[in-house]
Amino acid sequence: MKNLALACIGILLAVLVGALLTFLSARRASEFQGRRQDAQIVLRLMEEAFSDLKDAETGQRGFLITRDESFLAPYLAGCEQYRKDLAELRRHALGGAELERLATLETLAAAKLEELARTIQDVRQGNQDAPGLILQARGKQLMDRVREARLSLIEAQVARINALDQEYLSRIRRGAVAQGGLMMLIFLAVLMASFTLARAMVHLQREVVARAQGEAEVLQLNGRLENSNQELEAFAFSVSHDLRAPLRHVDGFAGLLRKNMEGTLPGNAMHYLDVIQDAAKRMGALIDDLLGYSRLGRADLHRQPVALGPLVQQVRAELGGECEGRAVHWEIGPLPTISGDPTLLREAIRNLLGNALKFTRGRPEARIQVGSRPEAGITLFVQDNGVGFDMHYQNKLFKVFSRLHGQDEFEGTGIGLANVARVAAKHGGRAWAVGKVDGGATFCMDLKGV
Amino acid sequence: MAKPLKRILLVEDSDNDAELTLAAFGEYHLANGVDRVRDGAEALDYLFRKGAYADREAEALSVVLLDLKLPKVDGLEVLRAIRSEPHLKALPVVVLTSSKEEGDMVRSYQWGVNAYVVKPVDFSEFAKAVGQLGVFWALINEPPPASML
Repeated sequence: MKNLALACIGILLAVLVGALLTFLSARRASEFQGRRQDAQIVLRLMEEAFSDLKDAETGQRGFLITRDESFLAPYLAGCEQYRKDLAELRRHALGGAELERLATLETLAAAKLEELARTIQDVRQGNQDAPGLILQARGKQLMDRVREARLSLIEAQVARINALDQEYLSRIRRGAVAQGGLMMLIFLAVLMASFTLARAMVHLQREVVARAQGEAEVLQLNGRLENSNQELEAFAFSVSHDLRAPLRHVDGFAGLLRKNMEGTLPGNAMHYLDVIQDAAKRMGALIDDLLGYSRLGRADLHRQPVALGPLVQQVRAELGGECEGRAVHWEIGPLPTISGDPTLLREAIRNLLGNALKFTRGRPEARIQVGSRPEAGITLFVQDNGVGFDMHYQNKLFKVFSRLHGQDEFEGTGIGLANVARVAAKHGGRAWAVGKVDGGATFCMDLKGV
Repeated sequence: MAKPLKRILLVEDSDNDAELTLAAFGEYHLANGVDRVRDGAEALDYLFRKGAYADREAEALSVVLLDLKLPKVDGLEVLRAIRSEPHLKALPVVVLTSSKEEGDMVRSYQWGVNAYVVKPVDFSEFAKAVGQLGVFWALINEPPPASML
């Protein structure tokens, strides 16, 4: 992308420079044109002025030979025209050596004109005879010098035009080289841009293909997940129905045995029956809790406003049976209304309050505090003065079937806190705990989406 | 003379569960006769007096104890057949099952079950539940009058 931007800037600059160069060379071309035209005009005017001089000389000669005034007409016209052409020439002369040469020519031409005027005057006054004057050759000498000066001026002018042409050509050549370079630059920049674009396109195409594949995979995985969820449902039903029946039979027939043989069985046989029945009941409880945990995992989150205060009070009232004959001091702080799933939250709170009651059983007075702290969302906490736990094992607390106490100490299946963790996770938060052995415990649930 | 005791129909595929149920009735001194069938098809034969039960005497039952998970024809289909038959429509039916699945409960109540009892794993609780419901339906409850049947 950076390359592409660079290439674009390059192309833009090159095009701008190209346009500027073209504009400048057009201006220079018209300038050259002007100077060349001036040089040509100078050439033409010089020719004309020389031809004026020749006209004037022709007129003078005719008069000298014929002494007829009417022959002076070309002379007069030539003189007049010469002056005009000279003025014009001065306007177009370009300067430097040219002006000097022009001045020489002028001086010589002036001398020639003066000689013409003087001879005409002499002849009019009858001082001279014409052939004698012509033969004196002074006029011819002057004219030859004028001719020489004119030639040198023409040469200079032609050389000047040639030099101009040369310079013009070389400029055009340099301009062409510069334009060629620019075109090359533009070509390279376009090439680079195309290359970058092509690479980007290929990359994009790959991305598109990869995404399409990813989507297909996600769809496939979703399908498999759906299937496995259905299988899990069927499994849960089977567990609920088929596994519980044999347990009921174990417990049931052990119970019948106990009843029918009461008094005739030795003491240790009665103990064995106790063990059989306890084990069967415990396995029943494990299956029930596992089913509950699985159902909780599959449950969709139906968010609605939940007033935590009344919910905690209700659960507390439901657990009233466990408080019988015990001194339990409840301290339930003001709790907010949050957006959450009331069924799931009730389940989590039942587990937390139930635990707090269970693990304070040995205390003369159980103190259980329920409160909340505004965090990112809120944190609901339940604090008790029960047996606590070793922080070393805090990771194990929320795992399925993971327990820190023996069954003879505190009964339970080790599912309750796993449920709490699931409920917190479904609400975008997590469950955690702090505690100390024999120093009470605080269980917290972070809940998002208040 | 006491009125004759109406019979109880127990639809139960498991011999163990049937035996436990009878034991529970015994504990509660329930004297009603109990007929047991092992699957849904047999239950329908019994109720509609077909097949092996074609010769059964037409007499009113006090209650049907119906398991849901049964071979051949399941309990919900039996319940539907009972509720769709004019002369059986009012017959008290109690679902007695291991399943606590919500779907089963919903469908049972949709088909007009009179009670839904989940068999507890604990035998003393099981005996209590089954015995009490036997006593209730067989002795305490007044069955639908003969004019309805």
